[in-house]
Amino acid sequence: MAAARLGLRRVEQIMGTAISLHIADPLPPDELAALADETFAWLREVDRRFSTYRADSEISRLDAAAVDLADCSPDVSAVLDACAGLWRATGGWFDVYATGRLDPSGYVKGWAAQVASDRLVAAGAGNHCLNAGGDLRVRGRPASADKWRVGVRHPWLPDRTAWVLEGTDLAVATSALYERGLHVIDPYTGHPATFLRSVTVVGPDLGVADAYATAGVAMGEAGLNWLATLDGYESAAVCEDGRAFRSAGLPAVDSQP
Amino acid sequence: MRRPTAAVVGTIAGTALLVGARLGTPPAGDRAGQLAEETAGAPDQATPTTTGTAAPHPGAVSPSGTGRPAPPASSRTTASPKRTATATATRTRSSAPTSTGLRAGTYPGSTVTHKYGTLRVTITVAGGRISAITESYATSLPVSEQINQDALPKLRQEALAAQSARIDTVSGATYTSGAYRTSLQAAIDRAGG
Repeated sequence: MAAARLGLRRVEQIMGTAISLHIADPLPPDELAALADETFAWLREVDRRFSTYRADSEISRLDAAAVDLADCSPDVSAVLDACAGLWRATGGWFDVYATGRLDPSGYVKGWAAQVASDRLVAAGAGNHCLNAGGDLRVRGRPASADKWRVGVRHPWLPDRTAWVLEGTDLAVATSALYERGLHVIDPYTGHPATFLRSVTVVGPDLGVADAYATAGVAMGEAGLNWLATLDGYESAAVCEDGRAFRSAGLPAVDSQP
Repeated sequence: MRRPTAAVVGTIAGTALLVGARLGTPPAGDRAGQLAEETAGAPDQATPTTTGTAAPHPGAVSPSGTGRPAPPASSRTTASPKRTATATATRTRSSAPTSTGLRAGTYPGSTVTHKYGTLRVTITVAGGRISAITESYATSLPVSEQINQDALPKLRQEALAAQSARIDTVSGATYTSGAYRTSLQAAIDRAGG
């Protein structure tokens, strides 16, 4: 079909993961390429400023007290302010100091992709899917359907989905233990959280969804009740013992395709 | 005299921690007097001392402050999240400071309005320590006390599906660049539509 040839798909390795961009708008190819270039350039810029794996990032230097917050870029202040608000909103369960050093990566990846998605919309590419290593933002629709179909990766079977979500304006973030092991730290005990194997949060802002998903995993069993109380955000969670839970308003497709 | 018992603290996590941070003052009359002095007055000003609670309810008032949360004195695995309340204790009656810490008295907190009504926490100090914490709900709706206690939405349990559905993209744990190559997302990206 000719429709399958329009639009753009590109994958780049940034932030230690794969970032997949799919723009469905039937814009001229050079315009699509420029939009993709800008999107990936932004994500690289975020990685330079925020990566905890780079000693020369602003975040690493800030944590080492080699620089003052006042001398950092405005984005750093904005991100840390947002993280403070999320720390309050989650009752301390989203905590950029949970590991003992400053690490906002449970928010930054989602935030960066949200900003990129907003810029694509502003530039006239309102039909796209930007997937930053598993945290994604969909807007509008793909060429061949009315809505984007987002699979939530099964927490044990890598090539299966536990849920399929549908929508035209969704941020979907997942925090889970099957890729990097027990990497989510309970900020109250300092120990890894183990009860929930996967938490997915769906809502309007990907940075917030990212932080909420991280907080949900950190909370363990109490996270199941907490996730249900989130205003404007839906969720799905799978326990390490195999039980699965979802919120009433999760935009899931219940039937097989 | 140090922290209040976990059972007492556990009833209202946020307020108990707020006051709890002020406990543990060295046994000295002056300090106790100073402590009671500090908590009196400025009733409209929140006094964030400790941070972080086990009661993450987005609609409720949370302690402000951007420092690290202190570990809660009580267990955090509860059936339902507790409300937090930022309360400023106002001294109503006083007696001579005890040798062990806080001045005895009843300290009503400010009233906090949340989604289903208003909540007021009152702390009673006796023998230099918190002897009671009481919550009272004041609303005009007779059913609201029930709502306060048990109206929270819950997630619904269901069977864990394992589908091979047609999808445009995958949300999952962050894969490393290496893990991406064999991932479902990579298969979708390669297929290109």
